[in-house]
Amino acid sequence: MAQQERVDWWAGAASRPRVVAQRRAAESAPPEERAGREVYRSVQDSEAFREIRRGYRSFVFPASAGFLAWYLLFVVAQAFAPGLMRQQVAGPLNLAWLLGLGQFASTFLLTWLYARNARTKRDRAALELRWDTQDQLR
Amino acid sequence: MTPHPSHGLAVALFAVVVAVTLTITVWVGRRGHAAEDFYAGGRDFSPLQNGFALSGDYLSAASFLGVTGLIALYGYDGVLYSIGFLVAWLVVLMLVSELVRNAGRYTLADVLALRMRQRPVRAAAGLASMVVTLMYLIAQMVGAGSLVALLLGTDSGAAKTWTIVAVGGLMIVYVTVGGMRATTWIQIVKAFLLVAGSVLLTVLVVARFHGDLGALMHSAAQHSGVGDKYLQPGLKYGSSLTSRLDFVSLGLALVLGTAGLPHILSRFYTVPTARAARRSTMWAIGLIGCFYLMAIVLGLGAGAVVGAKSVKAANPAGNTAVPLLALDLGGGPDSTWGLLLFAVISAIAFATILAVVAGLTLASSAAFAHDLYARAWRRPGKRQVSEREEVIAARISAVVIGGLAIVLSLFAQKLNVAFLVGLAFAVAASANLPTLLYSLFWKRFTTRGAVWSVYGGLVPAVVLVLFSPVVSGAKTSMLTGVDFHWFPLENPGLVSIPLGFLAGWLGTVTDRERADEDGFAELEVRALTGAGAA
Repeated sequence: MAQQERVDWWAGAASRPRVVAQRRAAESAPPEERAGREVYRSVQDSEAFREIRRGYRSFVFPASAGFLAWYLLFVVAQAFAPGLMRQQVAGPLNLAWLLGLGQFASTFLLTWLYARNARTKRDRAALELRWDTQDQLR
Repeated sequence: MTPHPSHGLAVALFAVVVAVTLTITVWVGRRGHAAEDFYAGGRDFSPLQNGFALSGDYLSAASFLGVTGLIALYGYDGVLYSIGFLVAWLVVLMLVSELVRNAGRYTLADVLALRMRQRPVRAAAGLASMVVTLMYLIAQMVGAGSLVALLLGTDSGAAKTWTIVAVGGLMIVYVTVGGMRATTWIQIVKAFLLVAGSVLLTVLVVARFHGDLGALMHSAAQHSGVGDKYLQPGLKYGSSLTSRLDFVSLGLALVLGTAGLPHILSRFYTVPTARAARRSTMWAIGLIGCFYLMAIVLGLGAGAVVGAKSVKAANPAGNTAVPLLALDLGGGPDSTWGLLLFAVISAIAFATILAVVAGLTLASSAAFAHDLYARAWRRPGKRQVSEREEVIAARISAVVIGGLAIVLSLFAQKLNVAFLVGLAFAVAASANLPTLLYSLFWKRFTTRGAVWSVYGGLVPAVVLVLFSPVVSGAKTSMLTGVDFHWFPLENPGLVSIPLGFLAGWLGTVTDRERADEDGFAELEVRALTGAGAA
């Protein structure tokens, strides 16, 4: 991780080692690229990769559905239940303000949860698989 | 409110902003002339730097002056408007930033081209990206014209015209000379100034009310002229069923559009890894979230201290609420501190405008040169464009796009800026986001599905606006005297976003060509692990 994250912003671009990206220039792939594609296929089928994908999707899909539903519900409530939103709750705050501030809070909370999930569930495995895959591609 | 005598100082500070940004451009732009330098700033920015740059790209003058003005005038409904801009970042963080960083190189279309036939998808996504950035660019430049004129205390058409031309000229210089590296540094400096200025004013407002935010809310409601309604939903977006639906449409466009904005997506290529992209997004969410929280205090502060009536008298949209607040907090128009604070805040707003337009021009020129000129327009087997030629094309296209934006902005001066921004988000959400999400997550998605979903979102979004009250049939329409509108909403998102998703699905399931499974394997593995990433 350390050598990945190290940033040397004064260095010119040319002095940095660079991973050559696999690119498809033409529509029909040359033989060495077909070999590369088989590597990707086999990695995609590997248990290690499935574990990473599971870790990612099992957090991100429900969380996205959750915050989108919560935001849309909040917006639709302003439009179609303004009376409810005007209920005074605490001091100068009515329900609308409280839910609005709740959107801020939930955004910050989900950001933190997502980062924690990524750090603990898949960062290390993803990095290992990256070097592994790149070795196979060579 | 009449013009204030502090404009000499403001002009001097504007000149300082221009001098500093040009120095950055020349200084930073000398290093590196490869495509990676021009489009991605060498990919060696740190997460903190890129987090500031993302906030700088995102928080336009429309946020700094527009949102605070809306809050000052409409209270709660202004706050409501700002929330969509923040929540949208969760889509960016979770579904887009890391995967796009790993799978692409410079543009959105790079991600699609990994698993699709590249010429049709690049043509579609490149065009949609250019449409989105151009709309956003026009919004910013029209806003710049009227804002700078306001801040300088003149109302003359010539001042606005010259401002638009000058802002356009500066942004062309930033982009052609400095590329992404200079643009990023300008964003960083601007975001820092913006946050520092907001913190300063927020502290002053809170101190004025002795730390009692409840008192601030009450005072703002009292001075709003509408009493308690100021703190309740419905003041701006609740007058009729149509206006409420319009707000739902806008909310949907805001929350889904951010993740499809080309100038935001291209920011993720300026950091070395997906993990750095994630961390920069987290910095951006922190900065943007805190900024909008401060915007609530500033907006309410302007409502309470300056008063909604004076805010509206200075500018009907409330765009000068924050500068007026600064003037008042510093001690009023006759005090040195008041004048100084007013000038400083005006200069920050000016820096904000310059930085955002530079980011947009760069994204637009990248979409043109990298996707359209160098790839979509080349037949396989014929001579391909070299990297050097592509960068030259990108610089030239930045000049042309900048010039086009200047001309279009001069014609579009009557258009409502907030509406144009909402429209750009709607197009991004309808054309770019469905394609991007399907490509990243749907195994069966085909080239035809990708092309359909871009055009299936882009065309309805634009057509619905043409037949909306924005163009004809209302008092505030672009065209007066004719009425051919049949679509009731100003923002097309509610209809065009589902259409974009639907078209992508339909194009795929009716396609006889099977999806490229090897391509999807490469995309998935690259996106989640970073193997083979640029």
